[in-house]
Amino acid sequence: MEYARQFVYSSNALRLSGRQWLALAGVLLALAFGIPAAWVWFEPFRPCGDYRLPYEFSQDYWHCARWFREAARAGRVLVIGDSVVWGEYVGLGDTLTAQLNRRAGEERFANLGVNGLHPAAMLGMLRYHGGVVRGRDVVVVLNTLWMSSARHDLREVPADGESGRATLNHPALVPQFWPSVPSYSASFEERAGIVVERAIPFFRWMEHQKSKGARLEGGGAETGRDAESGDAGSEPRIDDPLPRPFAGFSAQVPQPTPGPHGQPLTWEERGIPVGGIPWPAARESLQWRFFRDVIGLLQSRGNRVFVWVSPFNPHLLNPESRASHETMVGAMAEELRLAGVDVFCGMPLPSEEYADASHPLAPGYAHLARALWDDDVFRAWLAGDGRRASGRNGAKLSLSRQWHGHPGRGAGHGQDAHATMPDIP
Amino acid sequence: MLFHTWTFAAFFLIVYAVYLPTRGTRFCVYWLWAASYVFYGWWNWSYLALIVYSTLIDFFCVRRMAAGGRRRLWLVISLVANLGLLGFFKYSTFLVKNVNRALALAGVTGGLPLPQEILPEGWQFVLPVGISFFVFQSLSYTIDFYRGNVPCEPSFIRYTTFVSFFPQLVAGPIERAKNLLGQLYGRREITGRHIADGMSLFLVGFFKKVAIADYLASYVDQVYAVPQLYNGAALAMATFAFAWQIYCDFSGYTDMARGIARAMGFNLMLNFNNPYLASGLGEFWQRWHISLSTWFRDYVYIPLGGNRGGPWRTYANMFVTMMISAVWHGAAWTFIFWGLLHGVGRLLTRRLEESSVYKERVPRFARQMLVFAFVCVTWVFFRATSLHDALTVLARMVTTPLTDPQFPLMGYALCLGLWGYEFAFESRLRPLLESGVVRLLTALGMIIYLAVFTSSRSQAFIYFQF
Repeated sequence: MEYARQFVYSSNALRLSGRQWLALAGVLLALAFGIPAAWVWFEPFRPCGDYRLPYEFSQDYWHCARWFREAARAGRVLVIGDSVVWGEYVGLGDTLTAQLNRRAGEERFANLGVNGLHPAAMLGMLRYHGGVVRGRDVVVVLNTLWMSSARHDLREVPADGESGRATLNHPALVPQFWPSVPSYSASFEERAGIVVERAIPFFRWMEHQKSKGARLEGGGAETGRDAESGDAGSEPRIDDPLPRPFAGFSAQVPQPTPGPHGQPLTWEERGIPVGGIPWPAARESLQWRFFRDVIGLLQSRGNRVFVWVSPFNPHLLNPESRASHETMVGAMAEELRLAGVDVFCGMPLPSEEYADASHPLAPGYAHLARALWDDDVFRAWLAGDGRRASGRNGAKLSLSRQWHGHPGRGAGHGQDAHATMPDIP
Repeated sequence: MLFHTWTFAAFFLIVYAVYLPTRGTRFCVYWLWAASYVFYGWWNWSYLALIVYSTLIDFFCVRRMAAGGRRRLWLVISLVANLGLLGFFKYSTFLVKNVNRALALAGVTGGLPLPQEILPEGWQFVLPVGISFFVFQSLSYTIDFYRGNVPCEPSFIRYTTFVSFFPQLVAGPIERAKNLLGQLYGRREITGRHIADGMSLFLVGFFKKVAIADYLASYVDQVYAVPQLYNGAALAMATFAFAWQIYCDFSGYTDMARGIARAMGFNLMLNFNNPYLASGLGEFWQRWHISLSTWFRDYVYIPLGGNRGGPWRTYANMFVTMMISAVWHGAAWTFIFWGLLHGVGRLLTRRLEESSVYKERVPRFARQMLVFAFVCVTWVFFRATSLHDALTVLARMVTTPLTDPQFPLMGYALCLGLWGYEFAFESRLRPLLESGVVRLLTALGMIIYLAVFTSSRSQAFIYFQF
């Protein structure tokens, strides 16, 4: 058979040649990488001493990376963690880092807490947006809340029809394809989109502009059209789904609000019941595996790492659950110690100093900061005498490929004061 | 698997990586066939049974015709089998519902069972994606062979690849064996020009679909969901927006399909040629969904007698063709009314459009606006979910007070920008649009727009349902 028809291009003139495509690709690459890099010149950012990310910017990874960079450049001790570090129920001056700065008498500790930053997300944050954290002193905060249920621990497979995004904080930071995260059930489309967005800074920068724009408009998803038109009579409003990033271009980076984000009530006032949590063994926990990878990644980048285990509220645990929690934490601390990482387990606080299962209130942070500051190992670590990145005994926490089947280590394995759980007050 | 998804991107990269080095070998056709079946089976693996059925029927019927004797019988068997398949999946529910309604009016109780009621337990009755497209494509081969326009294809695998060729399988363009089957022979040349053309076509189609059609869909869907709550301006703007939505949705798909095929060295036919610049209804149908219009012209209108039997016979043939075209789009009274309006419009304007007074005295721009306005009115029936809704939209357009239509500024910019571009392309400004700088800037602007404004949550293509 013969070809019957000549090729007719189209009914438009947009027909680029190969060279034009190459030129276009060059321009796009320059824009995709150049605009975000150059933007810092146009957008001043002067974080105050106790700066923490504005709450609405918790998923603005471009801004997170910028704050990480600023803090690292200033040579401060970087304190990385979730909302326990960020200070969910306390004001700017009462966070852990603010309390530590007060004790240090200088702006020495930087609050790199991000709301909802569970260990799997922390690994993604450092891997994809925290490349600047190299050769620094880093305190990593382990919140065992992330092991308190199969869902928190990312081991639970969501029910049919349940969105992965809805059951997981920071889905854009968790591994998309490998290793597999059972709780994360996003479609291939979402995962591939996230991988591409991670690779191209322009998309993160656009998200930053949208975050600023949304904050200006004060409504997040609300569109400008809604705000403008109020004269449609009895007709229903018609939403305009178009994002309006340009509103954010001229806006300044906002300062964090000084007050607490959540109501500073005690856990009892919130009506949280006492109960039992079936804690997993350390070697069974997926979040612990990711946390080990966080330490391994930081070490591989030449950082000096100190781990602070924030005290889970023991008052809402029954005795059996409390004991199994202590066993789990003891095993984790011991494993870190054997890998050459200094660890401090935060002392349990009085009941009235907990806002919920894991967040202290302002007096709690004061107690925790004092205990940490007075700790000899921490002071030695701060002074530069602590275990080096390679570890005292030469061990490093490698990014765990052989995690499954790793033998758990017993509590009698060279215990020291930093691997045992203090008594409940 | 939609063209504008990462799933398709991954699929195409795999297909292309194997296709490029093997395109001169016999393996290539097998590879294209397998890729096409995976592409179609991605929606629902059971759909493959339908395409296999249609392919087998036509391949076998043509073989029997080629073997000699009873050519007409084999043609009828092919027609009945293909149209029966289409009729069962597409029209049976509509027919049964209307028959039952008529029986109820006549006082007869009971009625016929719906197709979904006679299926085995656990089975679902769904309209397979793109069934109207591949059935028509396969059928055209049988008819063309019967007429002596194409030779008998000896290779079943090549024939089944022609029917299921993935770039145009689910929404066209509906290709003819004479064009596409011939391209499956031998080694296809692929140069930098082919790849650059393919990428250009894909970019335009992607922009039309994701940036324009999906965006306008939001406005249209909100208004057409409850037309009785909106005033004339909003309803008129929603109809105007739908005109551009359906055009960008369908022509965007076609552009992407042609781009993918072009990058593989294939040549698919032009399916849209700036239809909203038509200055007559006849011209509109020469610019809109050209592959379907020419299919109906060649296989319905001309066999009915075309314009060979005098004016009244010509009008009747045109009207019948238009009504069949309407029914092809869907089994609903709204589609039938849509076709009816186009049919009547074509009958009333045919003479007028040919007259010198109309052509010379009425400015071309005015004629274009008249055609566009008429087409928009017909789109009301196409878009509305029921006849009642369609009539509500039309009535409220002229009886309600003028209020803010709440149509977003970006909507105006996109629709009018595209329309302006098309006017410029068909004017003396065309050389300007074809200059390298303007092409580059246009492409750059489109990509930046996509990066800044579009959402990752896109919608399916409207024409898949047909």
